[in-house]
Amino acid sequence: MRSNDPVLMMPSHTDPRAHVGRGSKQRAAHPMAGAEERSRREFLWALAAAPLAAAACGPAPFDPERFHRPATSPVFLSAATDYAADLSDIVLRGIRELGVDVSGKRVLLKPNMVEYEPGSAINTHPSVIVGTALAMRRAGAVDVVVAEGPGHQRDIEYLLTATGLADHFREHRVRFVDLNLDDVEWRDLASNFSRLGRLALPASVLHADLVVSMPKLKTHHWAGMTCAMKNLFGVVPGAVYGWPKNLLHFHGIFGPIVDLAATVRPGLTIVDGIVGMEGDGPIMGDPRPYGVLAMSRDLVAADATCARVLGFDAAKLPYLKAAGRFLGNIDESRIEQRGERLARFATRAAVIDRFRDWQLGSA
Amino acid sequence: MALVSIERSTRQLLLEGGHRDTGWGYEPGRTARLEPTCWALLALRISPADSDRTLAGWPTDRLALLEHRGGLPNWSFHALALATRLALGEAPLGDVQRLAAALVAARGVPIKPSPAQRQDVRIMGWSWIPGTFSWVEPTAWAVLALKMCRGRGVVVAGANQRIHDGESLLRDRVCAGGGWNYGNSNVFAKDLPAHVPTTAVALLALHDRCDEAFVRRSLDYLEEESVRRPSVRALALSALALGRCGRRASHVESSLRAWLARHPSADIASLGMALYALERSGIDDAFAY
Repeated sequence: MRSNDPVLMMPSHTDPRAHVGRGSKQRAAHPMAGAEERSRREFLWALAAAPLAAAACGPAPFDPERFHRPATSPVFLSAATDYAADLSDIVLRGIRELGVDVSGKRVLLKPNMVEYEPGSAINTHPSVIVGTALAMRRAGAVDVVVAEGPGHQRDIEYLLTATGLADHFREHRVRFVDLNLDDVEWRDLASNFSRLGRLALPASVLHADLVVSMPKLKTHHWAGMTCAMKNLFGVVPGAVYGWPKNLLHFHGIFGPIVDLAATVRPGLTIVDGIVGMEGDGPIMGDPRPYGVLAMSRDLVAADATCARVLGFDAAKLPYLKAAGRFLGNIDESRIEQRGERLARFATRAAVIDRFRDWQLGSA
Repeated sequence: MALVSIERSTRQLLLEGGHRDTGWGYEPGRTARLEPTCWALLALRISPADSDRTLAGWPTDRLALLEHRGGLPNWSFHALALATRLALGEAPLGDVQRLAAALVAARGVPIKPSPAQRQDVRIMGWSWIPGTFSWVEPTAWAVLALKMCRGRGVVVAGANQRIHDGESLLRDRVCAGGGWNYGNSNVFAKDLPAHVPTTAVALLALHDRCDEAFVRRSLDYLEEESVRRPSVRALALSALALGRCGRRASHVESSLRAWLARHPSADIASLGMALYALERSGIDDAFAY
């Protein structure tokens, strides 16, 4: 199954009746003078980055007092060549290696579930999700739920059934929450790169003791890469904002990625890079075995490490560069690799043309 | 589980799952939301006058119904609510005229054309929320609700033009093999697949266009794919759409009953769709126009 990418949906003007949160009136003026000379595709891509660039030029879009970037961030890498491995054991080892205390906690696992197509590598694999749920229980969590709000496929019941997850959940008595339909509460965003101001967010996410971002490692034809941070688009409720969650794209893709990460603040990231995607991701790309399960308490460091697995210069991904200012570490000197060495997994994923300049070794 | 008890147990779940007077949440005990409330009211049909009062008191912002109290306007669910009030038949004419006028005035914001997408971005349908682009599902519900107004003699200036706009958008976005994706039919020169629930809603809006090839092709898609890509929502909406368009729906209804027996669901909106689809033969069809 293939689907479209609504990030192209950029407005040529804004509706004065827009109800998009307090920050909507602060939307950046169009900074793309001379863009007519570029190709249309370049123009639209640049527009996606515009609010982030504008935010970077003005007052800091975050309050430094509210964030503490650690001196170093451990990232645990484990080799896993297929989904038949004992993933529960690997995750439990990572939890202990990283010193994550889940004892007595209510844990919410947020995988990446987008579309179903047999043989594709679109979604976080069911074995990783279920393996993590079991590991959390073994580590003492009192409640583990899996929660997701797909932005493409509204029919979550079909998605869970077709992927086999529904059977796994029944067998292991794991509860699933459709974040698109969950009760919501309004929250001021903890940073303001997007100029959205505030969003309605699912109560299940806001009240969990520990949120775990569990992305699939993929290239992304608008963001460059989708991993732990971009995965959080799935917490924005479709019943409030629609399918797709077009509001996020109207505010530029990179700003909302940073703001959601700063607001939701997952306490743990577990990346399914066992078989990821390359090329025209996040849906239309090709499966690519990266052979790695990556974990970190710092989702920015996890993303920066996974960017290097794909062969990106992490500092060239706009949302990672922005997040690296206050939310977490992207510099290799501040990331402490545990488990396997990064060099074992580092590769050069196929990317579409516009992202070649972001790859390591590019001019 | 005996077949007849599927309807009975679904009805019981809906009856127990709402808040008296304020509506239904997506699951029992949750905050009342507009979409599940509409489907529960359509399915239960307890007292049309009481049911209409639930929607008459729903919060608005400048005549647009809010998705939930304290939430945002949502044109898809606003249109569903207008259709529901028309179906219940108890709303004062002024109420439905105001709801329809707000819908006629609403439109998605334009975007720049892009070679990455084949769609005609000049066509303005309806967005989910104000200030965003036009999409298939809100456009389909809006077209359906405005056609229901027209069919019941509710006159609203500009409605015919907006129905034309909406039909144009649906015609433009239809997938190559029939049916509708939630968004576009083609991106980066690749044809995109249709989604069953989105297709069913679009066909409800176009059931007076069954002579057109793109509608017939989409009905063929739905007849085949609805049972291959099952869920409560997909099967229920498909049964409604196929039945309304005069196509065979019995195999979809059978699949829906079997699916409900094997896969208990707590989603009030989907259960409302299911009960309404299974019992509609004994009642007036809400979505006729």
